[in-house]
Amino acid sequence: MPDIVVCVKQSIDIEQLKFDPSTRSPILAGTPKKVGQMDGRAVEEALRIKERMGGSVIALTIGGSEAEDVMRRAYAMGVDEGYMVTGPELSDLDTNVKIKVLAAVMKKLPYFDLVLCGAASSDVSSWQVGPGLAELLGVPVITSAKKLDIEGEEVVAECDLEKGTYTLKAEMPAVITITLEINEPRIPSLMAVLGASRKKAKTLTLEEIGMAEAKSLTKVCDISMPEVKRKKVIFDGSEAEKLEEATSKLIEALRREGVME
Amino acid sequence: MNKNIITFSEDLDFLPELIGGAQEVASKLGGEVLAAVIGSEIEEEAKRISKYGVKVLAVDNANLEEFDAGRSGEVLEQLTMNYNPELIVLGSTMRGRDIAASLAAKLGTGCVTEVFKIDFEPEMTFYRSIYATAIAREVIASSPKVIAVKPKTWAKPETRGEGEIEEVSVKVEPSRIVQVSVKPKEAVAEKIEDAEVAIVGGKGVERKEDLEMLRQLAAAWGGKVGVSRPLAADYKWMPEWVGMSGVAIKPKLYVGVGVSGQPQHIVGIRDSKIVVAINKDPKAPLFEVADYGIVGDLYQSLPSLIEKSKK
Repeated sequence: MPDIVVCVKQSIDIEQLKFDPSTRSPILAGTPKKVGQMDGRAVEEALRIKERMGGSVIALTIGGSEAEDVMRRAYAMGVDEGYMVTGPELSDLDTNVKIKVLAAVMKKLPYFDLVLCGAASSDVSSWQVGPGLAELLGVPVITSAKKLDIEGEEVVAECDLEKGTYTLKAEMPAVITITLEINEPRIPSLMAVLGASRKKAKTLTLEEIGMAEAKSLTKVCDISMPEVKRKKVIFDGSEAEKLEEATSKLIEALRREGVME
Repeated sequence: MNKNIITFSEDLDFLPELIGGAQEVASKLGGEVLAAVIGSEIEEEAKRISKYGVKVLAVDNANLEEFDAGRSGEVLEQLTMNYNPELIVLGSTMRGRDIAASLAAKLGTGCVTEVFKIDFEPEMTFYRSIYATAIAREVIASSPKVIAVKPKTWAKPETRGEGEIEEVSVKVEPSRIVQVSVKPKEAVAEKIEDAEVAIVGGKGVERKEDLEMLRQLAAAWGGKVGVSRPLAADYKWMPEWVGMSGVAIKPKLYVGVGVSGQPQHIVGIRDSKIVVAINKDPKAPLFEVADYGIVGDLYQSLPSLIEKSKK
């Protein structure tokens, strides 16, 4: 009966992120956040393992005010317990420090067999959390699993790497990172969502986990959208009679550009 | 300050590029470039890498036969202690990123992955993708700095005669990861990344058979056919996809057929010379980054384009 810890983070919804047209920098204020695509699948996979084999699922998140939203979502999906490390200073910490924070919390938790997390967040995508965490916990890591099974004391994962599909095995406890192909996360029912609002996650501060002095090791100087100048000449072919004109104009334009014969 | 650079990639075909880049960095900042070759029975590999004008640190240990990111990290940590580098350059491959994160956690230092460019003024600044399509410039405040650099960022240096190889013995436990089986990637018949004209199908394409229509257009325009992520990863119509987690392309002409244009897709096509969008939804984000577009049904547009291209 595996006990599983899932690390979950809210990511900026990059499909809704807008950039200031003059400075080309992202307008983060007001951009909605949601549980990262891979993180959501990590929660789903943990729940599926529990449904098959028993055990328990703990969700863990760190962050600013959004941590509570993450917990509500995790509870609504069906996790047993939630832990969050919150504080305004947390939103400014870099990945390398957040890994230390996650490890510090996990060392306070009772025994776990498996730690699952998304292979990458949907916004920053550094791909570092799983392997960094495994290192600090002193356990093996398998990254980008698209299929996961537990066989006795071992975890078996199927992973797509650049050169092929690898089936890899490690003894538990282990850290496994989850990729998009693994599952389609459940959408909680209204009842589950309502029920989740009554559940309270355990809240920890940096001080309580002995990391009051946490300081970022990397610094983002700036973020900008590279300038892409596109012509945006759009032909309307939405009605049948206009379509022939649209396709002719497109071919004409592409010939003029010298990209087709 | 010591300015040595250690380079390493578990992929020995990628390592020479990293050596080339590290040599460029060293030419600006000083210091020596060292290349780590780690594994079991790696004598030949060490010789091959030494031809790129670097001193090779050869770590030959039977316990390193099977890949384990944590173990590779342990070896690099010991090399870091012995050679005191200011910068450790790894490859931003899937396994390379794991090693980078593992090593950085061990050393308690900062790490930037997915790096595609480095600036030196006023300080060493690393460029990486963020929010799919944007670029972040980051610095590492701690030392040594660990970075993972994307393939094709730098060029391989010219080879010369065999260079110095230093055998380094390290203490390392056996790998904790067992490789049960490997299924090599199917040979991809249509290598979309080499195409001058890329006709790429998205979710607007309703059936696998309909890709035939895209192939006809590709044949008429001298191009190849690819698909967006859902068509490959979810529907398995093709083994590879165009986009952030798949292949990045830079053809002369990219045509997105029924491709909505999610940021993760756009980042994989943005270096195309001309971008064309064909979609019945005028709000499809691909139109925002297109040079030309047709708002219209692809099932009518494509036959018309194919027909007109024959003339």
